[in-house]
Order: sequence, then C-alpha cells, then structure tokens
Amino acid sequence: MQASFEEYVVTRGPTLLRFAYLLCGDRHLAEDLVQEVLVRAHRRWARIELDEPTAYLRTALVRAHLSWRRRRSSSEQVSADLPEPAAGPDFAERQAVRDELWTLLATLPKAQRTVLVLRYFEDLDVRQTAAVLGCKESTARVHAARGLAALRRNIRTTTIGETR
Amino acid sequence: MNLDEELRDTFRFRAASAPDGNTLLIAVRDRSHRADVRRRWFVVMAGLIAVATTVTVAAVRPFAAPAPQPPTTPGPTPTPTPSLPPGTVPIVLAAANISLPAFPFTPGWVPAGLGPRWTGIVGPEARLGYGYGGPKLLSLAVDTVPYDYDWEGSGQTTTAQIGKYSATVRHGTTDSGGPLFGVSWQIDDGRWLTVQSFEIPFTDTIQFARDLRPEPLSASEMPFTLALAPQGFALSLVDPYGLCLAPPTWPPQRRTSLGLCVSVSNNEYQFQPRVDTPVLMAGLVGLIQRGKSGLTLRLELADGRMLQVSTHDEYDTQQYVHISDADLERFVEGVTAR
Repeated sequence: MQASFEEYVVTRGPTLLRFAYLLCGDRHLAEDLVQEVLVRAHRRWARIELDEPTAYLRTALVRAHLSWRRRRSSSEQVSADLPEPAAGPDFAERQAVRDELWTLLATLPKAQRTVLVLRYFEDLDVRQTAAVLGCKESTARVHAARGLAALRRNIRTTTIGETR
Repeated sequence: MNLDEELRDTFRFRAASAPDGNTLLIAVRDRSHRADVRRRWFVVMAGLIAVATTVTVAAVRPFAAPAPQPPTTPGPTPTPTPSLPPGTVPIVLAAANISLPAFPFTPGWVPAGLGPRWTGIVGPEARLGYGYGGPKLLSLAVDTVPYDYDWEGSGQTTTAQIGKYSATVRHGTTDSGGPLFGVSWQIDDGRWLTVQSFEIPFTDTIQFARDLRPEPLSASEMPFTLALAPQGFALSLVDPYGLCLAPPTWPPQRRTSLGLCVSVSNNEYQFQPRVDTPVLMAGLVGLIQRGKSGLTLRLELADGRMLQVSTHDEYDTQQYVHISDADLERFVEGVTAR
C-alpha cells in the first residue's frame, strides 16, 4: 500500500468512523462501510489524494450507505458502550434527551437521517448536502424538513417539547 | 436547548462512542489483499472462459447455418435488456408532441425587481415563479392538497384575508436574514393556493396573492425544443430549465423528477473521476454517468450552457426507465437549444 494512503487511514480513519457511525447508528456496520470505501479508494488513491480526499470519502460513505441494503440485523443497544457519564444534576435529563433523539433518529428513513448528520455534525449547508447526496437542493431541504418534523412530532422529552 | 442544538449535542456525544479505528489499517490492508486475490482469480477465470468460447465458436461456426440479420428499417431502435431493476419501463422514441400546460391563475400585480416569469408543474402541482435562482423569489403553487413546505419557519403563523378567504401566513427568515413568507389558502373548488416569497416585503406578498385572477396563463417557453420524445410518456415535471417525461401510469410525485429528464442550464458541473466517463455525442463533448438505475449525460453546448439528459437523477424512487445508447444519441440529436 502507498505510504500516503496508510498515513491517511491512520490519521483520518477515526473521523470517517465517527461520521459513518452517525449515519448508520451501528458500530459494526460503520466499520464495514468505512473499510469497504477505503479499499475502493485505495485503488484510485493517486487521483483522489490530489483533490479533496476527505470530501471524496465523505460522499463515498454517504452513497455507499444509502445504496446498501442492511447486511446484518443489528442487535446493538442504544445505551451500550457509551462514554463515561459526567457528574451533575442535569446529566440524567440531558442523557434522556440524547437517548430519545438517538432512538428516534434510528426510525427516520436513511436519506433524512443522512441529511441531518451532514447538517448538524458536518455543518454542511444545503448546497453542499445536495452535492454529497447527488440530489437537488430542494430534495435535500425536503429530507431535512421531514426529518426534523418527524423528530418534533415524536419527541416526548420536555426540554425540546417547549420549543415546538 | 432547541431541537437544532439538541441534535448537534446528540451527534457530538454519540460520535465519541464510535469505533476508535485502532485496527482500521490492518482491516483495510487485509480486505484490500483479499480483493486483489479475488480480482486476479476473476481475471484468470475470464481469460479461460474467453479462450474456451473462442475455441468452441471456431469449431462450431463452419457447420452452423448463417445467423439471420436484423432488419435495417429506420425508426426506434429495439432496447437491449441488460440487468435492469424490476419494473423498468423501456423507452421507445417517437416524434415529440409535447404541449406545455397553461397555469390556472394570472397575476394582476407583481412586485418590482423580480427575475423572469416561468410556469411549470411538479407532478399534480402547478407552479408559477419569478426569479428562479435569484435572491428575490416569488412563487405560487396550486394543488389539490395543502402545500408541503420545504423550509422551516420561525414557528410563528398568522392569518391574512385574501378576498373572501382566510389564509395562513407562515413566517421565516432567509439564509441572508431577509423576510420569508408562505401564504396558503383553500378556494371553493377545494384547491390549495400557496404563495411563497423570499426577500420580498409582506405587503407585496399579500398584494400579489390578492390580485390573482382565475384565468389561464400561457406556459413559458422551454430553453430547447425536442424532435423526439418517449412514446406514450406524459409530463411529470416542468421547470425553468427543462422537463421530465414519465409513463402516465406511474403515481405522480410532488417532489421528485421521474422518467426521462432533459434540461439546459448554466449549471456548472465538476468532473467526478470515480463515476464520470468522457463522451462525444451528437458532436458535443461531455460526461456520462451510468448506474444500475439509470444514467446522467451532461454535454457542453457551444454557448457554454449544459445540456443534461438523465433517466434517473434521484435516488429515492424505485421507478426506472431505460433508453438504449443508440436511442440516447438519437434523442440528443433531436434537442435544439434556444
């Protein structure tokens, strides 16, 4: 393998895994996705690294994720293997909101969830999001609006309920 | 916290529990090696099969009857049937006979400073717009169902009187901080009218809505003409840049382009080496992208605009059409940009 590719995998791999995990909500599937996309990218690395490898791989991850049929049924529990809880009186409440949102995100169609991850985790605007998805800006906006509406409709936690 | 902040917080928090990537490089090396082995095996097998086929054909051909030649009559080229998604509708080209639908309402007054007018449809929804792509936008949608907004407002809604009807006004802010309004009301025959304005004062938005007359407005001109079109297909989308034609039996979609789409625009497109193949078609250079569910062809016109033909440019429908390479070229040859 080329040294530059290996260096990229070591330095940027964790970032790709975080992104993939948020897209699919499953650690094993995220690893599978990232590995497959990197293997494919390796064959064309000489060309990819000249441009913007991270943007390229982000797009490749999204498209691979959207086109994959679920290969395994995940039995992953939402609360498993989470970061160590921080102390504080609000933590339980904060954690309840995060848990509920995470659970609700899992019920959204893939495209809606993907748009929300791109918007709120990757901080992409509508134009960039549409480019990653390979769709029109209006379609990306619709996915975002519908995803957010579904979350608002179903959330039960008080703090968010107040902002409806 | 509001929902936006909660989502950012949730994603940040959950990202911390993603796999750490300590074994990623080893896994990628291993997978890459296995993929190489598999590829070499396929190459060897393909070579063996090719040799076997050549030998068999060479041995059989001297004794076989001459194969019948296909008729060379002009007209639609039979569509080959490679492995296509189930339910794919093959395109058969015929002389184009497309009449663009008139818009059912005519504005009596339009705010100053807007871009050119266009009319269109998105499935069953009729659209009238001004200033497509510009900072100031004004549009009117007419449909049998309430408008499904694709923007989030501030949460504030008010009411306004449009003639004898009471309208709901949705308030929001554009990306650049300007006013954003959605005014929606239902008329006596059950249809819903929705005026949306971007960067236009509220009083102007309301005046535009109040001065609408229920008289047909002739369709705006396409930026091209077509000599050929898929036989039996109907318009599924018309916008300022182009149109889509789809089998009339397909359920109408209000958000998605369906079927064979063609457009001429100033859109720039960046070459994507992973998926784009350079192509020369009808004397024009461009790029073609082929996928399991369809293709997207982009050709550069002499004036710098881009002609795009696609058979599936959205990933979230399961309705496909197929056009053969020969018919795609015939179709493109029949497009005349204005």
